[in-house]
Amino acid sequence: MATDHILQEPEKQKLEQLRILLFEEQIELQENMIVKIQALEEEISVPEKFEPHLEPHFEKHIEFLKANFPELFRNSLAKALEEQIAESNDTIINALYPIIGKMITRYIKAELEKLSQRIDDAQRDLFSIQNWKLRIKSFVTGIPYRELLMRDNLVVNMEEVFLIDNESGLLLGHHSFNNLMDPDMIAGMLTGIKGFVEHAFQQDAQDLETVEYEKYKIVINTFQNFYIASVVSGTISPDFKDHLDEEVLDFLKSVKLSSHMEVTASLQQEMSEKLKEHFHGFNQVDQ
Amino acid sequence: MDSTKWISKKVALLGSHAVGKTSLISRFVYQKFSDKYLTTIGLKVDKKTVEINGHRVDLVIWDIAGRDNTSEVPYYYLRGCSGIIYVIDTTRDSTFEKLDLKIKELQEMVPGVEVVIAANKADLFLSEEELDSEKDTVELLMQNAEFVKTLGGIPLKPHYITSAKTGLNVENMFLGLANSMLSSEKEG
Ligand SMILES: Nc1nc2c(ncn2[C@@H]2O[C@H](COP(=O)(O)OP(=O)(O)OP(=O)(O)O)[C@@H](O)[C@H]2O)c(=O)[nH]1
Ligand SMILES: [Mg+2]
Repeated sequence: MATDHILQEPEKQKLEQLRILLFEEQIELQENMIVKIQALEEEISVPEKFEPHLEPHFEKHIEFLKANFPELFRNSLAKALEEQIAESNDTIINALYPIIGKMITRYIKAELEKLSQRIDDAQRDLFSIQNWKLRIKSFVTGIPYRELLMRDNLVVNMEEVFLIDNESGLLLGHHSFNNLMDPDMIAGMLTGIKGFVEHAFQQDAQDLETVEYEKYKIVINTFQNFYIASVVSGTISPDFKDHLDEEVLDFLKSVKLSSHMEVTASLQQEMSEKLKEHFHGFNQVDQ
Repeated sequence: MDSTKWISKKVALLGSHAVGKTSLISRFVYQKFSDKYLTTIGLKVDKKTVEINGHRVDLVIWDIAGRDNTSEVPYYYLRGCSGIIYVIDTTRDSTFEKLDLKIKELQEMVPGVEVVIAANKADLFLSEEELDSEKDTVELLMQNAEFVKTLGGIPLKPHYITSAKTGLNVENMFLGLANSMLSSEKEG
């Protein structure tokens, strides 16, 4: 937002946390890669031959390295790491590009699987009275047990909505329910990670639709010139998603935004007002 | 154009690795410098609001790890940029090899973008005493044969001689860029 926003320490920490979480896989992977690169560099000294060798080799070892990484390398690595990054920076980053995008999707998938696992666990816990109550409710209402379980366990809350320019990542508007962080910086970071993932997935034609960090999920609706990112805490139920999609489409009807717009404070203000109109009552209505 | 304006602009830093991109940003935004080298992982976005002739500009500044060739810079990093700061390390020739070509490539990739070249780490040409003295740093550098020779070897004249360590010209550079982004908008 166009205000003189001086970041407070906790905000900075949150932002840094978001950054680390967004790139967690990348950092971990980069660490893993360095070890392998050291070995590979000895085997293959010709750079042209080096890169094609890298990817298939890594794919095989990623799982092993991930599983055994701490025990195998922790002690010896810290120092070598810094030096290696400094020296083979470009090579590492180039080699990583195709892989990192996949890692992020895998991460999101893994999180969803974990959630489903939690639900299965609860399902198995047949003796709990709570679960019997839900089973009866499911029987009576016809709503699937799983769905009821989700609703029961999870409170969903809309935390922030961002309207962001696709091209530049500049913030076009923002509405916050409790002012988490500096919205301009979040808008930039989100656009970066979005571009990064979409770039990595070019061949597979996949869009980035959700990003997760801590207890938050960022739901992304991309349109031609801009996208809407909704930060949600808790786990999103199909109902919640439907409601969100409806509200987003409603919002779309009420605004006209072209490409290569000049991003002024007055535009931001106007758009923020609109976002507020559409999303302010969101949490009340949904619960 | 309104008499006063408040606009947001995307600015990206480019150049080879370890030339001081992150250090220049952290000097400008947080008035901080560290000798420690931590390569930039992923992407970092910072923001600072500056005032130019009564207009306000929110500079949204993007930073990634350096690349030697412009073709290696991902498109999503460059798109929508109004300004680019191309940083070179005056102590490493390899960081300004073919600089003229690289700048030309960038201008083709991002039409209408304002590019400034920062010749960074200039402090390394001067002694502690020289840096501590009252004398003007740029003047001292211009009297320094080694620095003048280095400057002559750069294929394209840098717009600013900078030091993230001492703060030399860092503010000037960002303000200068903000200014030219504003004026190029008036024309357009
Ligand atoms: N003496 C001196 N050292 C500098 C200056 N600017 C940066 N450095 C040092 O150079 C090293 C690299 O600086 P960074 O700012 O991390 O470089 P970078 O371009 O962001 O590097 P990547 O993110 O890897 O591309 C660090 O050790 C800095 O302390 C400067 O003006 N003078
Ligand atoms: Mg950096």
